[in-house]
Amino acid sequence: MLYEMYSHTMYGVCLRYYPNAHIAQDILQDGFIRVFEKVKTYRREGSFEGWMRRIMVNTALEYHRKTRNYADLEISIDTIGDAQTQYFDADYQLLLNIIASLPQQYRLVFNLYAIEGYSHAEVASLLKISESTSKSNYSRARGILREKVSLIYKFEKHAILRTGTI
Amino acid sequence: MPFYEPGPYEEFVGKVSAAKARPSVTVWHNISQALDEIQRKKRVRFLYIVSAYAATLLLVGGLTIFFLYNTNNEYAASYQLAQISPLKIDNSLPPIVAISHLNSPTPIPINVQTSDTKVQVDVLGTRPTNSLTKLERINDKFWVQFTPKNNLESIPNLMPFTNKPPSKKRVKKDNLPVTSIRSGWVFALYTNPYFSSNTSVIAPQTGITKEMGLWMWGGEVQLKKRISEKVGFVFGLSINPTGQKTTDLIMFNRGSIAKNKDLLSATTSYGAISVAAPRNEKPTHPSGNSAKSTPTSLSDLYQQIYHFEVPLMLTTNFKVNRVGVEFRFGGATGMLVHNKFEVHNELGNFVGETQGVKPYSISAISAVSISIPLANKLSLVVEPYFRLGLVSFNSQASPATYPFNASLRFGLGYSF
Repeated sequence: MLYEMYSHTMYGVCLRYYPNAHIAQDILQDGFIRVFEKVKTYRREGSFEGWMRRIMVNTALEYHRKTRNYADLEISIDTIGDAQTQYFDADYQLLLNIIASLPQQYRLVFNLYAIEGYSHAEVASLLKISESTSKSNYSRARGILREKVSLIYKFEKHAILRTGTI
Repeated sequence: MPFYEPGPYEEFVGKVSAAKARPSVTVWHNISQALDEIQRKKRVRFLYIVSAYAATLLLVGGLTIFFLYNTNNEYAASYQLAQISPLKIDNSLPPIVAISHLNSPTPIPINVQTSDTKVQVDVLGTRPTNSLTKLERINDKFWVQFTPKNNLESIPNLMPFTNKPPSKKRVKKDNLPVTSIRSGWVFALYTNPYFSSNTSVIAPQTGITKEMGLWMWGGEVQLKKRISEKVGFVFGLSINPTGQKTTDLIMFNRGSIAKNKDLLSATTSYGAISVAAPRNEKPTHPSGNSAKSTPTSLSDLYQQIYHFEVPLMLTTNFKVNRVGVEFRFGGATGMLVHNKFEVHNELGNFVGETQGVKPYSISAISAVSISIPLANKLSLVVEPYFRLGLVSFNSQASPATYPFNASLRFGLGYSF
């Protein structure tokens, strides 16, 4: 079954964009509904998983566009909440905490550029920002992440990401 | 030796990009419910669309019946009027009066003479010409069309033509029609035979003259733009055919218009026609008085009229597997670009123009377009099509005639 096969991977994608269980599950739900609606239009150009991933990313970006004016939806470590801890192990919780420490736009730029592989021009087009802003946002996001990850390495020299604390 | 050794940041990016998590079980429950709801809405939308098109078809059918009903009533009224109305003497008229209404149970009187109290009909035209009268209802429109000046000017158009079988001229086969479904824009081309007829033809015809529909070729180039997943619009350019075949048409001799030439005329649902024919020397009356105001032998008439039109239609569509089904409804407006008739009788073959045809057209169109994909961007289209004229065809014809045509159009579509 399609959902069984891909729900874990796609949920991971959604959490990268919105490291909040409630929001990520909403995006996952909307994304899968689109997948089921559009599955007949899949042209077998590229992998099916890649096609689904693009739908999830687009759904997440759409969510971002709809809610960009609402500051209270900004994700932070404090807003990750208890609801998701029952689903995530400690390592994954740590990863999410690090991701969630980024400002929302930095997080989107980081995901699109560093993980999805879009160019800065494409990121700028998707987020409706300038290319230089995209570069700047990514640079700052990388700086923040390097700093946090290095800090973890400094204290946990061997078992990186095996603890539940930053 | 590795060119670049990944550090903690790169390791972090790798872990994040490969991370998976198990969503809550409620997610699938919600998805399942949402999909069911979408299916239900689709069914409801489908029912709405079918209902809308059923209503549209009923409307078009109702209009057709309405026009037909009016046609019959108007005809009955005009015919009755001719039978019972007091007639006025008009000595200024030319000596020949002829009218043939195709729906008449018997030919309408040719020359009419009045006495003090009683109307007398001179069918054979043997009465003195100074006592001729006309049917008042017919007179104004009729004589405007057939003044000697008008007829003489139109003589070049009325010369006999070569004896080509009329059917071969019309039945010309070629081209494939077109349309397709896919992305935003679709280019389509149709060239198809259309069955053309009018509302008067489908009324009961009591005389010996019979008007019938005619198969004619028409074509259309169109662009379709989808404005949403289910809705789009179509516009384009088309050549729309209108015509009919009339058999056993009674044409009346309206007198001499040149040396050895007489003017023959008749009235059809699409308007009056007249031709300059060689004089028939054969006497038609025992007295030896030939020609004037007498019917000639029966003729066959083909009328072909084309309008250059701009159709605009709204479309809604759904898919059954890979086959797209699209309902179309809209209208078209255009201008007259070709008007020709052919008459065949024992005196020869003649061509000319039907008089009084309006120079513009307005019509309603409904169609169901079924698109079968052939290749990536190409599709075969089968389209039942119906078009009904919304304005009377001829400004002078009474009763009013509304042309319609129908076709099963085939085509190819290219989406881009």
